[in-house]
Amino acid sequence: MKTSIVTRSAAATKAHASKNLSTKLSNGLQVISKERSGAVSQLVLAFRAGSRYQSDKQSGLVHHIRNFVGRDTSKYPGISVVWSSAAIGANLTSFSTRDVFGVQMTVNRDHTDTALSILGHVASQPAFKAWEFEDVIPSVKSDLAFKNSYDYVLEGIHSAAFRQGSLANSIYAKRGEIGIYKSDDLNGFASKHFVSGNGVIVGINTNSQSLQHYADELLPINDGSNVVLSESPYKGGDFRRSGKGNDAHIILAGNGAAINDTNALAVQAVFLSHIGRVSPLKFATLPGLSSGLSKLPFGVAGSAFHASYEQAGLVGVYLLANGENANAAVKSAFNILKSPKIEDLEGSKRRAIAEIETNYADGANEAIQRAIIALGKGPGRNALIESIKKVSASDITQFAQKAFAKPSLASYGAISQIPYVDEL
Amino acid sequence: MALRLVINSTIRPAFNTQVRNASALSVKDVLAAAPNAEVTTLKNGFRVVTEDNGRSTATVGVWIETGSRFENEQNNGVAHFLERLIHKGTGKRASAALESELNAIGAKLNSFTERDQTAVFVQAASQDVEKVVDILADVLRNSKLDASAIDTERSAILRELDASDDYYQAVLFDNLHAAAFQGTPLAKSVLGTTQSVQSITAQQLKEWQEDHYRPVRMVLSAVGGGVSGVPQLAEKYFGDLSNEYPRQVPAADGTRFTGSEYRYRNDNIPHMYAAVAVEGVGYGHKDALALQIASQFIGQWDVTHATTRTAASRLIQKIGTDHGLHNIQHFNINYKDTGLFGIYFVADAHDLNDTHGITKSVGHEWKHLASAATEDEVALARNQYRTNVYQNLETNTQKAGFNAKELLYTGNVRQLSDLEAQIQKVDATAVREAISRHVYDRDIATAGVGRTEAFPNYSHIRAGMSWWRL
Repeated sequence: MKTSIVTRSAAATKAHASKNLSTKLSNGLQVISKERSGAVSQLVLAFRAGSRYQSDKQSGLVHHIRNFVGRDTSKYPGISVVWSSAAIGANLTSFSTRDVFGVQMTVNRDHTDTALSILGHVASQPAFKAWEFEDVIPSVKSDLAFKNSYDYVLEGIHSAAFRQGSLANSIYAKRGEIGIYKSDDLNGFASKHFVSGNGVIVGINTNSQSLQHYADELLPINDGSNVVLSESPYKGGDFRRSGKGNDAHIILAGNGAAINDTNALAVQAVFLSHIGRVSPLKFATLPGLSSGLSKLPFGVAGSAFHASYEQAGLVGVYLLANGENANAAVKSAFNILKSPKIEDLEGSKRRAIAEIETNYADGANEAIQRAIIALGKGPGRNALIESIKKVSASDITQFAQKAFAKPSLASYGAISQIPYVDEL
Repeated sequence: MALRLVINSTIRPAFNTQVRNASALSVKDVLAAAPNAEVTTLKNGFRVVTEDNGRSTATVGVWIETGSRFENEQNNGVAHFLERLIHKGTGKRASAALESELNAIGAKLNSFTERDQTAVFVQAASQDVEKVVDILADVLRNSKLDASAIDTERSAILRELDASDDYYQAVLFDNLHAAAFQGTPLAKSVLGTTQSVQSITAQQLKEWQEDHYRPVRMVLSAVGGGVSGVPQLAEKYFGDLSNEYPRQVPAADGTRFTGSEYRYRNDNIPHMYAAVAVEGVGYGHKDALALQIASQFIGQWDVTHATTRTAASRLIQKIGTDHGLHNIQHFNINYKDTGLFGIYFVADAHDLNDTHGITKSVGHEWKHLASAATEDEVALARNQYRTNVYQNLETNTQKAGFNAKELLYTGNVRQLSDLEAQIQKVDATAVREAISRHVYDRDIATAGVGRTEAFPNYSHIRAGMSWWRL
């Protein structure tokens, strides 16, 4: 709130106006800025604080923390946070993955500066007041109520693939874990993880100099170093959960690319394009006649699936089958994945690149992607595209053989006929 | 009153603009420097709007003035039926060939049909724009409509109609249209009815294409990199389309809004889905923007939101707890010449107290907007609208749709800098006047789906539309 700083920053900006920025401050915080000449700014402040950093006694903790966003911060009451962001037309969203927890703000760029100051307090200085649990707990319960069949298998494939490792930790709190934590538990986790050396601030369509200046001098973030990652290598296994109805939701996955392995990510992207996500035509069977998955049994829909984390990843397919054809679906999908026959290498590369472009077309998505990639030391969009152009057919065959040497299988619904991985 | 104090004491001092930067770009600066959308009209009346933003991707598509409001009882659903067949191949390209041609360049053909338009568009890399225009012209002009594809799609649509009963929100909005616009073509649903879909013939589909896919009813919209040559491509691929109508010129019959109620009670559905609306305005109406900003006052909320008692909306603070409310969303639908302005919500609906509490509070909010909306409140809504509208025009596809809709509905394309200037002009007076004209003491159409035993009483809601009665 010191007015003297205002003038200095204005002068500094005029001196060196540069549009994009990617740097690390002396306190370890990464600052990334990208100008897209759009009218809306996207801001993200994120930390390496996803559910994989929970200890055995902290299962479900990050889910509570995520739902606390919008409540009191150490300096400002929650109502002031909410109304101040509403007044400038900002939308505030919290997100968490296994790797990352963060807060994202969307605001028209007339009010980027105010939004930044709100974001800093909300993301790095939450207060977790004891009496706020009463308001937060119902929203955690609602999240569980909104889980769908895909969410069940997505959580399941992680526990199957990573077994006792930290990546098996669910991003959801289990029913019995809701409300068991106290303010001190949340504060303890936050004071270790929500620190400068463990975080990144991203601004799309912001002035890079004022973003850097804010991060450097005004952001109310505690100093601290990078949190050490507990390794969680891919192991492989089964997860089965029966549910009502005759649908069978299945994810069949193997050992995929980690977020910082550019070459493996590139090969994986082309491999997944070959396997197929959606048909290029609407009202078509998933994922189209010419894709790898076109050889699935009649009536089974399938789509390529991947999840990349620090030091580990998953790659495979999501299948929607029924009780009768699920067995055949899994077996044929496994053969398709294990030994891909690449006939359309150039087309697969074009589709892989188009998918990256589509992901980056949306500013909010771009901001979150960039934050996650920066924290995981992954490749930027251009580096990944360049790497994709160099992929050869034999790269893909080798990748698939290695990835599916030890498969994982998660299923939910009518599961009685679904094979176990040791039967594949 | 307490809340007004909260607004005043929090908005201003709490988070000051600590990092205010004189050289930072404003929305106005950015929009003034943004690429312009340029309109070209071919000799046959076919309009082209292009916006070259230099990106490595582009969206090119054709937006057609057609849809279920041009249909009748017998052929209801034909516009959507034809849209589906567009993906099933042409004389030159069989469906599989079309798929592999798109796959080879990493492009996607997409489409949708609404009550008043069908859009068919391709998302591709910027170097493939010519190929994309070729594909679009081919699928729109030479669609094969062969008997086996028609039969397959017919059964797919019938399955979709069956399944559509489970999409309660969609059922609700169909019912709302059926009530509000009863006796007019806007009452009909896009999918059609089981009877009409079963009886639609190949001949009807072909005639629909001949009658509707005429140059004056079509707009080619292209946004992205490499699209500046699209007007020449349009001349090459669409320039020879004729404006002759083998039968008669299709016209949407007049509109009429009827205050009415449509309740579909089914206690097997776990909640009550409800909508209350007045007649809105057409897309180009002078009050359209004021109503859109008024719509932001209530906005959207559901149980997964982090806020209830602290929500940045007086209405949500009041009804977000203790009313069994799951989801509430304000809508402002603009067709070419009319619209719907209202509220949609999902609630437990255990008793009338809960449900009536919700509609009463909404009515109260509307009356407040008509008589007492303040500049502070309108500034907040305006800011929220600006964030949302510009965010939703970020991608090539979103912007191409916007440009095409502008051109089809108003004959012009507003540049975003003009839109920004218009938004800035919407003040409390404009909102109060627009709401007084279109919402205050106006007839309402209501629709309910699911557990509607405790659906609020129609005459109560209607009476609550003015201060005189409630």
